[in-house]
Amino acid sequence: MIDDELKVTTRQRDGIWIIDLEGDVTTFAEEAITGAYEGVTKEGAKYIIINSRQSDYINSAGIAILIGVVTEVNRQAQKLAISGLSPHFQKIFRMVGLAQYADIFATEEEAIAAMQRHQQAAVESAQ
Amino acid sequence: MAQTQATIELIFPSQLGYEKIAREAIGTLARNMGFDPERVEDLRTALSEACINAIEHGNQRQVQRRIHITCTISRNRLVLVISDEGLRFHPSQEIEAATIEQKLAGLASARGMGLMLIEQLVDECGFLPSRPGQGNRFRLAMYNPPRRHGSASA
Amino acid sequence: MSNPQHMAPSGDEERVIELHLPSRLGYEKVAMDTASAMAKRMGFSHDRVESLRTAVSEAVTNAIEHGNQHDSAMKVVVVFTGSDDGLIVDVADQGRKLLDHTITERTPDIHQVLHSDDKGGWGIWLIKELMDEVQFSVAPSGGNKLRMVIHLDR
Repeated sequence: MIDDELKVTTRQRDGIWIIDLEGDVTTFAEEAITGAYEGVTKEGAKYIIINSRQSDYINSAGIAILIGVVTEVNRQAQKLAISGLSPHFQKIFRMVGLAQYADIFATEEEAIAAMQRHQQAAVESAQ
Repeated sequence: MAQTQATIELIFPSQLGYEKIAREAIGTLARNMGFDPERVEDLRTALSEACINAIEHGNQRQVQRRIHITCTISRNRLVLVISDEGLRFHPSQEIEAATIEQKLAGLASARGMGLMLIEQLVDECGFLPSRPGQGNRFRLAMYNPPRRHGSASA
Repeated sequence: MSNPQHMAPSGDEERVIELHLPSRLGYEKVAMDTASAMAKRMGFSHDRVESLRTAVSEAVTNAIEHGNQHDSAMKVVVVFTGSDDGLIVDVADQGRKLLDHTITERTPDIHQVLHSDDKGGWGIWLIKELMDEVQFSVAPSGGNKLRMVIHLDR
């Protein structure tokens, strides 16, 4: 009866993969989020943004799922940013320490710009 | 809306999802008491985490078991007591905090993180001493204006 | 996203939320937000949720003003029961004043209502217009009980 509404979609923008989350990020989100992450990783994603679109409800179980993604990202030497969180959830993500492992941006545009700087730096260091 | 003390009670099944209804109801109360929007958000998040603990831990997700929230409000204070039926008791009065390093190493539970969050979001919180025949009772309080625990200046 | 494990139909008696409110105007907002949070999760459309909010607000206001005569020590008890067919909302007061049956049956004339001291009739007419079923009875506590039902269109 109490339906959990979460829509997870993925798209690509300038070599950066974006996982859009629309709705509640709770324990019920695990399959959808890890599935999307595994999907973009299979596509060879190096730079990933998890973009929340007006998520009004994120709880500790949801954060635990994102921590699972961070763990994988570190293992796969990918780069992860999180964008689109409300100021309240930006604060919550800092409180639990997630900000140390993934850069947190207010908007998708800021996250894209930061990822492009990382891409640029990677190209330069390879030369 | 609250000139003198008033009590509101909310009772619901032990099923994940119902905490969202509790946060709407209590969020409305806090807003009407004049708490800042950001503190209303803090309370909503803290309450959700406390309800999830009661549903998953105290009542072991047995849907027919009830979660009982008693909300007492006065001019400058909102107190919530979240009670479960105590199928399992919280191990200690201490709030276990997990570091992100432990999380990343998969060592700690989401529950520990929930309690750590609650502690940072509200002015006072903790388990009340258990009474015979009762389950876990977790109390949290918020003051308007804020009275942060551990800060002597308040 | 629905997860069959958590969406498995459970007995109706389990999908019950109970809310106890003091008889003071303003608290009807808590009932309205509880109702809309539950109805949205059940899949009611935006319009139906708005209708339900108005009906719940009218019923609770009526219980506060009329049934409990603004005595804030008296409780208004709102019980939300969800099922596959819809949502039942019971609003009970402690009945300082019982509802006059002529009020629950007539369609009030706006001019009459505006000039009458007892505006209860208007709210009840509105509830009947907005909800699929409305019933009046005497609550076990001896007060008035108003039951309203809103069906899910499937």
